[in-house]
Amino acid sequence: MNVVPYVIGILILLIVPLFLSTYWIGLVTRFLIFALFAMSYNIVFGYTGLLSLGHAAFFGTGGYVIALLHLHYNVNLFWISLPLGVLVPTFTAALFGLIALRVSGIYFLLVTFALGEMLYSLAWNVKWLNSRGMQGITGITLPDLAIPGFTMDRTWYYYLVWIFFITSCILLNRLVRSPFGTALVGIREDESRMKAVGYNTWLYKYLAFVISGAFAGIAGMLFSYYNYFVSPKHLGISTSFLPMVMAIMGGLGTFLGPVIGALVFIFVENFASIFFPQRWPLMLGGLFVVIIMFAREGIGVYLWRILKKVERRFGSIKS
Amino acid sequence: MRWFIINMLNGVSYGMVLFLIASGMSIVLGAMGITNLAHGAIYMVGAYVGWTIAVKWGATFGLGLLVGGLSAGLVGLVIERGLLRHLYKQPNEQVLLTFGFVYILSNLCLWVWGGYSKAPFTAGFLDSSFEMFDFAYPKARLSIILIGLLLGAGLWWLQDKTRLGAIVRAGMDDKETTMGLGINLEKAFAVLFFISSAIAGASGVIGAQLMGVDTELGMSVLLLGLIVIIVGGVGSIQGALLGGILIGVLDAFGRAVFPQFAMFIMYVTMIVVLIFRPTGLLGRKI
Amino acid sequence: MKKFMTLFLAIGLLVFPMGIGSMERAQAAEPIKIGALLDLTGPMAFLGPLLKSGIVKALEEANYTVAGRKIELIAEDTANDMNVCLEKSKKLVELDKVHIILGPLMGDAQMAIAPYLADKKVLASTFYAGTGELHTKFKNWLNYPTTLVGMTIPVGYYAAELGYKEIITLGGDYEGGRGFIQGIKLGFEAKGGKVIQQIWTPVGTTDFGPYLSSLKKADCLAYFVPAPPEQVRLLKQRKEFGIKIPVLGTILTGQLVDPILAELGDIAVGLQGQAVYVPTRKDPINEKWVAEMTKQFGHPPGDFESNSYAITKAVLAGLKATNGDDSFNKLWPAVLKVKINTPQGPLAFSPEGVAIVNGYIVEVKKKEGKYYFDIVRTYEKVVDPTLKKR
Repeated sequence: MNVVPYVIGILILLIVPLFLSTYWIGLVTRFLIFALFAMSYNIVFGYTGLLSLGHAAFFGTGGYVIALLHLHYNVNLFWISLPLGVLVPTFTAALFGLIALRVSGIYFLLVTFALGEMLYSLAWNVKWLNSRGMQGITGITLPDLAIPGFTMDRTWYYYLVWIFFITSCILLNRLVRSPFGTALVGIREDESRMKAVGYNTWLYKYLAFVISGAFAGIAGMLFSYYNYFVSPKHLGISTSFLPMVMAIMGGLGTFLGPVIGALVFIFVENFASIFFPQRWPLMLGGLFVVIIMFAREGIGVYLWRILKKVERRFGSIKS
Repeated sequence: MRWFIINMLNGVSYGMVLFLIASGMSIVLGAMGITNLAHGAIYMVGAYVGWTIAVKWGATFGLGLLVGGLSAGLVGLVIERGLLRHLYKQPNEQVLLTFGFVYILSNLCLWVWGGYSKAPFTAGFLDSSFEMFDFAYPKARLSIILIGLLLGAGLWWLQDKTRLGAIVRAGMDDKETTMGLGINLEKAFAVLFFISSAIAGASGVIGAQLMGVDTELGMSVLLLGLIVIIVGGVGSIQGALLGGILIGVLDAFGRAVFPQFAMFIMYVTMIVVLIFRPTGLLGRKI
Repeated sequence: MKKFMTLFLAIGLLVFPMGIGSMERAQAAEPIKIGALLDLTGPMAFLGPLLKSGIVKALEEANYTVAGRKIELIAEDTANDMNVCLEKSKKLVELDKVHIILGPLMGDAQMAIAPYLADKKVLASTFYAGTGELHTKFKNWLNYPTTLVGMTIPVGYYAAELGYKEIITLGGDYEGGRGFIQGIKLGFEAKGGKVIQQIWTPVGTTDFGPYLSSLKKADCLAYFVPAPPEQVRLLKQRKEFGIKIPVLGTILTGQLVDPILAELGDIAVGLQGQAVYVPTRKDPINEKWVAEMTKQFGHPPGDFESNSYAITKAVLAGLKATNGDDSFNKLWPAVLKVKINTPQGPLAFSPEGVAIVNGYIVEVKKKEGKYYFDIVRTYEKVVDPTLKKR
């Protein structure tokens, strides 16, 4: 396996904080978090073919766990928050998976959507889930790693997020290249055939759903630290939609597609909302439509094709 | 007793609007297998157009209803013919495409009609109340119930008694054979999508009597429609009607009894139905 | 493989030039930069331009200069979204290097960015009241015209003065709504009245039918609903259902602007309730301001223009007192000492940063086919008592 591109990529991401101001470091942090979110979504949607419209439920839950620990128990220790931040969304995904996987296709979509909205409604209405003075919970501080002499700041937080991102990339990559991952693709392509060959397709789908939810929860957890607050919106459709867009834009079912999609989205959003704040949603919608109609496999694959063409041209010059 | 009747009527009238929303979605979802997430946005367009005609230009409500429905139908037709048509077997792309239109249409409506939401409006002759028993009840709400029943009957007739309905049902079950029989399925689908969108637009104008018009309707109406479909079942008018009325009534009484958790009632109902009857109370198997 | 290359190269290419750009921008820091967080898109998009016009007017009057330094206004869209608001705040503070931020409008966005702004020592201000929580945890917020609770205490007082003994409150079920209703209750009970029923309507309620039908017997219904169309629906549905109980409204001039008042028509005549700013207030400063604003922006000004104008004037006065020093430690105490007369009325600040202004009770009247608001009672120097308790 050609390690060089990975190394270059890792190096670039590593030295980013050295050149850039805190604002841009923040933006790249945000990108990494959403790239993780989109990658998690890719597992359930891209690889397994399950169109879920409620993925933010797990993302938001991860964030809320951190927020609630902070609000009610004054816990800021990362080593306590982390396990909980992973376990609770996983548990939620396990529960929701049981309900949602009772149906398939269009119904699955509807159900995941409604479940996400239900959590949104809960988060909005239940007093215990809100700080005084707002809908949501504010005042979350950066995690405390309990390393003597070390204070967390936003630049170090970037590295923390980066570590999670890389680790998740490796883990998820292992997953999709394993027999489990191949089975998922098989289920996506032709479930009845997989069943005929003896696979317990429900179990595979369920596991994909739960794993997907777990990683979404991690992304959500990281997001709450970055944002200093959580809001019911992080559980609803407006957030669920983001990983969908990123994954599809970047290339569904390809491993790095979602990452590219996240990159494009975060940066385009940043600029568009500065220069055309009033028409940004219109541009976003237009962008989707264009991608769907003309670059259906996503920008990632599109770019790759262009690169291949360029390669061929150089190749022919060389020889 | 009075409390009961008022809330019952509130529930049924609201439920009728829900039915209208869901019926349009259900037709397209069940018969064509198309996930049209822009249904709420099309509802919104119809409502805005209806408002322009009935309120801004001061024409009759009926005209607003007609033009609102037709223009919405047109929007839907354009989306279907121009774009959706190429994505028949690709649910993922349909979702993204139609969802993209939610953003596009919402922002366009914001651009054209501005940010101020529009207050509820109705026909002149409906803008008063019926004196019944010992209270007054708005005529507009009663008319909603009536229109809902009429439209429901019309759609049921379309679904069960016309050639178009038969074609679509056949096409849904077995596309190849239907097409092999020389039936122009494409044309039927286009007509169907137009009808569904026109209903969405008309529902927008009808619903505007209760809810007014604003740019967030794209999402909020979509959510309502989906909940009703989950409860009532996809693919049948009866399902949409049952789901709509059920949710409407539960919502009305829920708000009257425990206002804070009213929204919850909808979700709980949805989950209960999902656990015991996943395809909805009257749904066909997908 | 190549995909990875593309990916990482892309990141590098996109991100690098921005870094350079940010370094350049850091050089030019001479003018005083004031950031504004406005709703330019989203459900409250119609308010953004109004708020901006108030700020712009105040800056124009000062010729965009104070104590010899130029002033630069940088307005950003919050899209009514807490996340976007936070991102924009970060941009304003870290890229544009502002020390003053006006807005945002929405309470939850305020709470969301509050820890960050406190950390970065930025002077912040609300546009239309904010929760008292802003002052218990943070010490850098100006709150205009007062806290949520402070705004509606006059309604409670007025209800008692009208002779009501028992009232029902109906409010939007979210922090803003709860704050406003609490004010009504406080004011009313302070004068010996009793709130016998409290109804909370979920945000986005389109149909008040179920709530109206569950009203108990009382002297009055005092309400707050978060948006103009909801207030219109409430009043219309009240008439449709033939409900006779008198009502006292809130945010009347803020929500029932001319086109909406016209839509309500005769139903509104005789409606009484709380208002922040009243365009018809008889006062030379106000009359001049109304005339100028109407000429410049094409329509008569309302609450939002008045609020942002007053805040900007206060900040400018503070900057004048510090001789152009916009650093937080100098500017904050200076603004707190400001005492000026605005079109809305006299303005001063409490030590926590809460503005002290008049509270008005108005009534809708009709003259020659036009609807307008008339002041029927003025409460001076309204203060929120709950701030002291915490």
